[in-house]
Amino acid sequence: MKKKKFKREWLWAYIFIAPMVIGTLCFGILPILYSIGLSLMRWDGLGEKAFVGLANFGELAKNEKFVYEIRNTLVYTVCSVPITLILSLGVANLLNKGLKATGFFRVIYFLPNIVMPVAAAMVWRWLLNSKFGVVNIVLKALHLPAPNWISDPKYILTSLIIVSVWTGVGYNAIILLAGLQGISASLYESARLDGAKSRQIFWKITVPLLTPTLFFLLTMSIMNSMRMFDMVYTFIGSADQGGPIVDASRTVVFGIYEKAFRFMSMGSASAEAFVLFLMIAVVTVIQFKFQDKWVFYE
Amino acid sequence: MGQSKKKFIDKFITYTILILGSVIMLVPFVWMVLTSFKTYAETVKLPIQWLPSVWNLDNYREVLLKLDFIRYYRNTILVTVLTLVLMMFIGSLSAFAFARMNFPLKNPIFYMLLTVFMVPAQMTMIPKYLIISNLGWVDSLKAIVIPNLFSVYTMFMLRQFFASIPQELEDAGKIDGCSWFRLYWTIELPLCRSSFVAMTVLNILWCWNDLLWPLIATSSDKMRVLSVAMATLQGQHGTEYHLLMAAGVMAIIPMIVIYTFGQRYFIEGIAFTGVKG
Repeated sequence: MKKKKFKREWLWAYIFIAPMVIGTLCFGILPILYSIGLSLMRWDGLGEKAFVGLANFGELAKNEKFVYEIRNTLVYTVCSVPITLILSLGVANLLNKGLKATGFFRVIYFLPNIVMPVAAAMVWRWLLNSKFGVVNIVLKALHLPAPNWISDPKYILTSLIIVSVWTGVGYNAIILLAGLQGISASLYESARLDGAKSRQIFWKITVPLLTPTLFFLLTMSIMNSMRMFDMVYTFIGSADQGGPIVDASRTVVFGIYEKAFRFMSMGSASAEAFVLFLMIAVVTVIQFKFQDKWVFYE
Repeated sequence: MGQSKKKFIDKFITYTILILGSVIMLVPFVWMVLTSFKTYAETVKLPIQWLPSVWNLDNYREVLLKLDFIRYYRNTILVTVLTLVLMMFIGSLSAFAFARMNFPLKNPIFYMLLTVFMVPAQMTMIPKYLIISNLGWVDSLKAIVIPNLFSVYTMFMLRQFFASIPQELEDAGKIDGCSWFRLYWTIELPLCRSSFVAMTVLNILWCWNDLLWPLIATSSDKMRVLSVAMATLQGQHGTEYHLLMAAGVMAIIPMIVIYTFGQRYFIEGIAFTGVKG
C-alpha cells in the first residue's frame, strides 16, 4: 500500500519536472555541448563541417578585431562596474538617512533600469550628439571641451560607460539599500556611544556588513558587463560600414554575433563564445577564491 | 541650537545631491518625450529649441502606421504574454516538485539543470539557432518564445519559496485527499503569490526588452518585435531623432505603466533576488 503511494508520488514528480528537464536539455545542455563541438570545426552553416582541432582559437588570437573585442570588453567592465558601484553606494547611503521622500527617490533612480536597453542607447545617442545633443550644448555653455562622443573612436567607449552607469546606479542602489536596512540600528548606536565619528562608523561598520551585498553585485555586474551587446549594437552595430568607430566599441558578444550571423563562420564564432565562457568562469572563480579576504559573513 | 543647525545642513546637502541625481536620471526621459513632439527641423535647430512649437502627434502617427509599429507592438505583446504564462507555469511546477516531493535521482537532476546557470546564454545562441532552424521555426514567433520558456533561474528562486512553506499545510491537504497538482495549484502557489508575482514582473521586463535572441531568431519585417524594430529603425533613420524618440517612448511606456502599478513587486523582487540570490 505504502509502496504504491510512493510510486504515485514519483510518477507525478516526473510529470511535473518533465517540461523543464526536456526543455533545458534541448535548449540549454545540448547547445552547450554542441557549441564546444562547433568551436573545433570549420563550418559556414550550410556545407560540410570540417574538424580543425584548435585552429579556430589560433586564428582568433591572430585576428586583430578579436583583440579589440577583448580589450573593449575588459576596459568597459573595469570602468563601468566600479563607477556604478561607488555611485550607487553613495546613493544608497543618502537614501538610508530616513528622509520622507526616500520612496520617491527610489522610484526615480530605479526608472532607467526598466528602459529597454535599445531605447536607452538611442536616447543617449541623441543626448550625446556632437552638434545638437543636450550634453554638448551644456558643456559648451560651461566652456568645457565638447567632444564627438559617438563618432570619435577615442570617446565611444566612454559614451557606452556613461549609459551603463546611468542604467545601473538605481538597480545597485536599491539592492544596497536593502542591505543597509538589514544592519541593526543598535550597532550604530553603541558605536556612537563609544564616540565613533560618522566616517569611522561608515568604514568600520557599514562597509564590512555590506560586503556580502557588494560581493553579489560585483559578481553579477562583471558578468553582465562582459556580455554587453544591446547598447553596442544600437550605437554602432546597425551601421554596416565597419571602420575605426566599430573597432573602438565592438565587444565579445558583438564579435560572436557578427561572426556567426553576418560572416556565417560558425566555428570561429563558437570558439569566441567559448572564450567568453572562460573569461566569465575565470573571473568568477577568482572572485570566489578571494572572497574570504574581504567579504564579511556574520 | 548648533546640533539642529548641523542636522538641517546635513539634510539640505542630502536633498541637494539626491535631487541633482534625480535630474540626471530624468533628463533622458524628458528629452525623449520633448523630441518626440518636434518636427525634424526643430530637432536640428541651433541655438537649440527646447520645446516643440506645436504639440502634435504626427511623429507617433508616422511611427505607428507608416513604420508599422502596430504590428511590432502586437508581436511583442504576444511573445511576452505567451512566454510569461508558460515560463512561469513550467518553472513553478518544477520548483514545487523539487521543493516538496521525493523521487529518485532528485538531486542529480537538479544539479544537472543548474549547470546551465554557469554558462552565459550568449555561448549557446548559435546551437540554439541551428536547432530552431532544423525544426523549421526560424522567422516565426514560436522561434522567439519556445527556447526561452525554460528558466532555470525562475525555478531555482521559486523552489526556495516553496521550500519555506510549513509542512503542516501540505499534510492537511494530503489528509483531505488532495492530488499533487491540486496541492500545488490551490494551496502552495497562492501562498507564495507575492514572490511569484515579483519573479513574473522581472521576467516580463527581461522578455519585453531582450534584443539579441529575437534578432537572431527572426529575419523578416513581419516577425519583428519592438527591440529589433527599434534597432533597425536606428539603422535606417539614424538621424531622424523625432521619429526615433517617438518609437522609443512607445516601446518603454508599457514597462513604465507596469512599473508604476507593480512598483512594490519590482523593488521586492529586485531586493529579494539580490540579497538572497
